[in-house]
Amino acid sequence: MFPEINNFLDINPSSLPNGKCIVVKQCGTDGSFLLHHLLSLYGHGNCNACLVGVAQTFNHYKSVSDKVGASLNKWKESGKFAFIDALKEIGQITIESTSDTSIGDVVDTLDVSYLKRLYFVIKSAIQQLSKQGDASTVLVMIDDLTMLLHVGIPVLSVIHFVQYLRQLVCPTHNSSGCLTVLVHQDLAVDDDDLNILVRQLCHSSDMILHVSGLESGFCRDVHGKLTVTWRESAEKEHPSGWNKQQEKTMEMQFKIMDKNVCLFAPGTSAAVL
Amino acid sequence: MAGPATSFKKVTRLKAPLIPGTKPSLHNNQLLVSTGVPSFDNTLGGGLAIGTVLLIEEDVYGSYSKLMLKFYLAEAVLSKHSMLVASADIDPRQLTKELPGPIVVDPGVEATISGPGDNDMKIAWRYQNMPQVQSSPSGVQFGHYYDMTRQMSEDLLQATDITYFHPEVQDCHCRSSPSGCHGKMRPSYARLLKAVKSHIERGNFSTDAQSQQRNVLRIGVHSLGSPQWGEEEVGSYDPSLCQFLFALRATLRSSYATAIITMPTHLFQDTAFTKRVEHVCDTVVRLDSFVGSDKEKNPAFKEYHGLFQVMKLPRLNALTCHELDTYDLAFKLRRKKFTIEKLHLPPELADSTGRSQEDDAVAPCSRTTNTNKLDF
Repeated sequence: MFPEINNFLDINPSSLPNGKCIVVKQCGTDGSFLLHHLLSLYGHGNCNACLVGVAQTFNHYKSVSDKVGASLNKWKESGKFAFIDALKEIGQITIESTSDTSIGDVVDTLDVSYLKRLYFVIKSAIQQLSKQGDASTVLVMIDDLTMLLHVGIPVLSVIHFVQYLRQLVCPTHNSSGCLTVLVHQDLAVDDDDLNILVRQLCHSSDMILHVSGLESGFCRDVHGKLTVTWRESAEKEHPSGWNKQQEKTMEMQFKIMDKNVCLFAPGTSAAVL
Repeated sequence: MAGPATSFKKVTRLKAPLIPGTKPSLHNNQLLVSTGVPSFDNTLGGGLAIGTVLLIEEDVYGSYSKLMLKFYLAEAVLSKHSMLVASADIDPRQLTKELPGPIVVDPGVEATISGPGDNDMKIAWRYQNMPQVQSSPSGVQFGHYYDMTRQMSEDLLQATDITYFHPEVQDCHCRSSPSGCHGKMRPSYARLLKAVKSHIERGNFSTDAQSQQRNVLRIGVHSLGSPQWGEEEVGSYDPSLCQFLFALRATLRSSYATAIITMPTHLFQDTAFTKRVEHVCDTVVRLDSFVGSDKEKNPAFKEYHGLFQVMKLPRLNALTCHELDTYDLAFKLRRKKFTIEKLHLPPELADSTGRSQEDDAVAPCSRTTNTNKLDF
């Protein structure tokens, strides 16, 4: 858990971002530190979490969590944390679908059917968690949604999948779940499908965390820029009136260290001052 | 008081199985193997992590990328790793036949140093009976230099477990319609994937497999995604290549294996497709040789043969990836050495300045004694 990010995002273990859909958008640099942050945040709060690993393995998350001081293993043993190894599953499905023997198998295709299955796996995992843990707050996290697109699942299905998950986890702002997804977008190229996915996700999200590299290029002391956009919807503020949609944006630069993340206002890195 | 049970016990740490030619990373404790180019290992943070896929985006003529693949495979021969060589463009047997020979340090020199007679210690005699320090406990050096003028000896090649893979050409063109195999991978990729999978199972390279003698599998794929593999630009985007890479990555994650794949990404029309491929791989580097370009004659580049671009470094078991001083790298090829070097020094902007502050430095053109015409 990185206290500086907590301050910046205005969240802490006592006021978790529940009822929110958070999109972590990484452009040109790695935004996974935010995922680790949110995970450890929910871990410290002793809440439930379900992590779908499409890009990374459980061992990776375990090692990082040990480093930042929130043991994922203990969390998992207490029955409040579930890991769904989508990386392995998709890999297996790809291999099985290539072999000639399993042509008649309907389940084993990388298609909408897989997302359906994944949805039900997540759903049952959440139900299992809420049975074990007393708290009803749950964090559902998908570590790289773009991978699903890359392995050939149609973009519309991925968008529907996220919509379904949202209905499951945080249908209203008062619900006690939080959905976090990571997407990777390269701004230098026009990838139509990816653009559609990112635009749709950002549209339906409550908080966008945009992680990007510096425009001026690589720097050892400033790893990138974190822009947060709060999309407060009108109904939350004023249930009756026509309150205009508020969109608040703040920007910080960051440096990732071995066990911590430093945030500072643009241009105020320790190396410059 | 001298009870037999004591809580003081010598802590014997459970050692990870030592595999020849590997070393644990200092950064994240990941097991590493050498790429065969020591300066490339340094760029990657010590070496290529086991269980990851490295993508080399080929230079236009593909000669340097092929050379790097050969170094990687030659390293397998010296470390007695198992290997799987795949290529559609050339015969994979040809690739191993052309492996460069290693430059070995003259064994005679070592023998004289470690001779027992003249090695009696006069002062630090207590250390005399200590075992000789061995830098690599497995007995195999990590990373070698290769002589491009020599060839790998036949005996060493014979002793290595090599599997070849060559996709049959007729299969690549059997598809009648490009969109007919929706959700199905292109047969050439599918066959390679199956070959990798079965090889891992057969050779006990999986992390689940219990075996006494562990070894590492090195997978080298030459020119994946070239037209010979059946890759072609069709109107709609074909996910076969990404599917293959993703499945390969998923398979390698749970096995003692690494893969280096060279790919002619300059053949792809759509840069978005290249970006997707890069995103699916763990480590991505790009070779940009000067051959045939204007840069060949540029005096700034005269020492080098091409630019070496690091597109992506993996984040494994850590928040950060290996930090490079600079991403301005270039490669050069000598007869006995292929090296990757810094092209420029990075600007001095670090937290602590490397040089001492020169306060008494005199500004140019402003010396007190007017000895130069330009001074004022």
